[in-house]
Amino acid sequence: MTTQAPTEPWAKGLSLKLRSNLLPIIILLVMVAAVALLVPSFFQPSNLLNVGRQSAIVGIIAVGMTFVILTGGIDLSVGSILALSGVTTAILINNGLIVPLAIVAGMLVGVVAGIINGIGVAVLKVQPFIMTLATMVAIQGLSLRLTDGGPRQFSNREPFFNFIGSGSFLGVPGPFIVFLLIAAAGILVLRYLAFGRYIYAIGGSIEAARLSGVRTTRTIILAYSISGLCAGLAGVMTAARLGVGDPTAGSLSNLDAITAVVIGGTSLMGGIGGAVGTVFGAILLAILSNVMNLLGISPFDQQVVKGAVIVIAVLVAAKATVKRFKERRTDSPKAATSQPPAIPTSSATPDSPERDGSSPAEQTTPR
Amino acid sequence: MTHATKQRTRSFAAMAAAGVAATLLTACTGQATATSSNEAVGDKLAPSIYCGDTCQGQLELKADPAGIECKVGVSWSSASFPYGAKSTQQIPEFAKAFFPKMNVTVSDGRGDATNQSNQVSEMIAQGIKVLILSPQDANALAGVAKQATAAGIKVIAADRQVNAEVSTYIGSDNEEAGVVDGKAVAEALGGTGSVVELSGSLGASPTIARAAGFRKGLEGSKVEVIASQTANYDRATGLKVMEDLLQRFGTGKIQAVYAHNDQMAFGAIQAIKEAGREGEIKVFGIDGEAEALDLVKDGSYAATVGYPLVVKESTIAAAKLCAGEPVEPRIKLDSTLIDKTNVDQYLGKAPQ
Repeated sequence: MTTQAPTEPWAKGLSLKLRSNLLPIIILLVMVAAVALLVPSFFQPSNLLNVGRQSAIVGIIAVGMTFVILTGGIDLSVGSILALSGVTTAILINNGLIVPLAIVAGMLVGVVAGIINGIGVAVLKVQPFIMTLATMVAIQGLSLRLTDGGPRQFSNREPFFNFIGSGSFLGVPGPFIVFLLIAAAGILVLRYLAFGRYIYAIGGSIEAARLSGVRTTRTIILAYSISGLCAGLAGVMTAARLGVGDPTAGSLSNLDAITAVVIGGTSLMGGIGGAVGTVFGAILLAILSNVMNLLGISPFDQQVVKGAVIVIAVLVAAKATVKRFKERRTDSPKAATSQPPAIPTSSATPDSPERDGSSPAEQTTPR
Repeated sequence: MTHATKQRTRSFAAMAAAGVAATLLTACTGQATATSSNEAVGDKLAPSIYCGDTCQGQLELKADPAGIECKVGVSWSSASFPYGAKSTQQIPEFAKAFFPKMNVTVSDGRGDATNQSNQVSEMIAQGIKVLILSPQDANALAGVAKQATAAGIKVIAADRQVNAEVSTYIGSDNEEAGVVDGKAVAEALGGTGSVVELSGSLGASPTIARAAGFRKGLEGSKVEVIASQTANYDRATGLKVMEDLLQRFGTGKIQAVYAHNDQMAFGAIQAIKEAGREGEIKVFGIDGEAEALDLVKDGSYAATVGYPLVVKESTIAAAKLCAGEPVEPRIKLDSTLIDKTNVDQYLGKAPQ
């Protein structure tokens, strides 16, 4: 990695892009290399498929969570949404609804919960932490109420339902394929759609975004709806995998998803990061727990190791973020006036969507 | 201006949609909240079949059920897991069905001992006569349990013991359930082999007792616990951890799985099936959910040990205390091994 700041604008742009996109990938590669030395059985095809499948649920939730965290918010309710969506799907299938509609209904439950979160945050101005904490508790209660506290079995198995639960295509696990599709969609939306840019703008400064014409309320509600939709999909997939709607499923998946997002280099303050990092964050978490099980590390020590890895990963990511932030400040037109050899154009290039330098907010607010 | 109004209208539309969806959801599942299987003997509430002869004798109610009039408080550690949810739901249902004049209030400690003790204090202030307490922590709830006794309230420790003098402690024994499973595994493996353990939430008292009991049950055999990992009493986690364990221990290296509850056992069974190794690995667990009995019946689950709900027993004991009848200090329910040989007699009467 370059320690010296490059002088050419294009070089600077490139190095920024590399660092912001590749950092989690590099961490991941280093880890995998270490693993290869420790446990050769990790690389058995059947185990790699396990890891892919195991990363899918948290990964899908984390992609949705990335939208919310980029706005500077947080969504604690995803685990409860996962459970409610699975329970809803199970109950509807048991009541004779055809499977595709039951799947849609399960996902719709997630969207509705997301809209409620979004309205709470954007319209009623409740702090995201509190709003989603409240819905987390309420939604869990609803799942328990709907199931009388116990898991709901269902037996109807359709090919597609099997596929997203435990099936595979050309040997690749179905859940992992769904995860990759969702990840690709998330990356594209954040990178190339105006909506994606608004998300970054709001995370940078909501006031500035609003003043520069971003419909902040609508964007935030949409961000939470996307998070809810992803959690809902994860819930349907969990139900499909297990053959039950479990009201207590996913109780820790909110923390896992947040961890994946943060390890992936997205700042909890919002505005910085992206879905690429999240994908690798989720895969990294799955590898970590898989490897520790393969090594037979005691469950007590596993928690310690997991905590340590999270802190290290976040520190590395945070360092890179601070660096990027500083460089962006130096790049900005205002800072340029105080520094004679100015490179005023580099911050305006929209080629680096993983950072928020090109957001409309940045360009219109005086600092 | 118009823009803002438009947006607001849309938000309201969304909220209305949310409301409608929620109502629909409740509406079409409302009928699922049916009352549980009432095993009434005439118009009297009878204990479950997991309450043995001694237990049955201890819970003989002499008074007329219709004449029992008193305030009962139910304080459960948490209603956010199936056992707690079923208990807090069924006790008031049974009370209502069999003791029409018994007034039951329920509180959910939400997994927090401080919270739960505050709730118990409130119940004491409301003038309850009997308290059914399932403590989050045996020591943390001891204080309020003593307060209740000092205020003349009869305390029933349900499922979990509290570290104070109470009128009675009703429940089966986690360690004993582990012992029963340990013996069953030793016998099924012919006295020798390797078993992996899926343990419950780390540090929780049932987890510790179920682990210790299992090892006691294995004593005298050459069965070895070759790995122990937590799966947090969760089905999906059980599946995932078992996938990893199957990877770590290749074909022929595992003969049995011991899971601290049915849910994790279900996950393990699925992982074993998907790996095509169901012929070589037998799965054992604890709890006895209805689904577990179905799997025992079809042969994919070797055995489960019943860890029965104590809702009927607690309700009867509360009624006895209300009527001023004496109650034994310990009422123990059986840890019944349910395997293929006897599963038929328990179908439809699952412990949980």
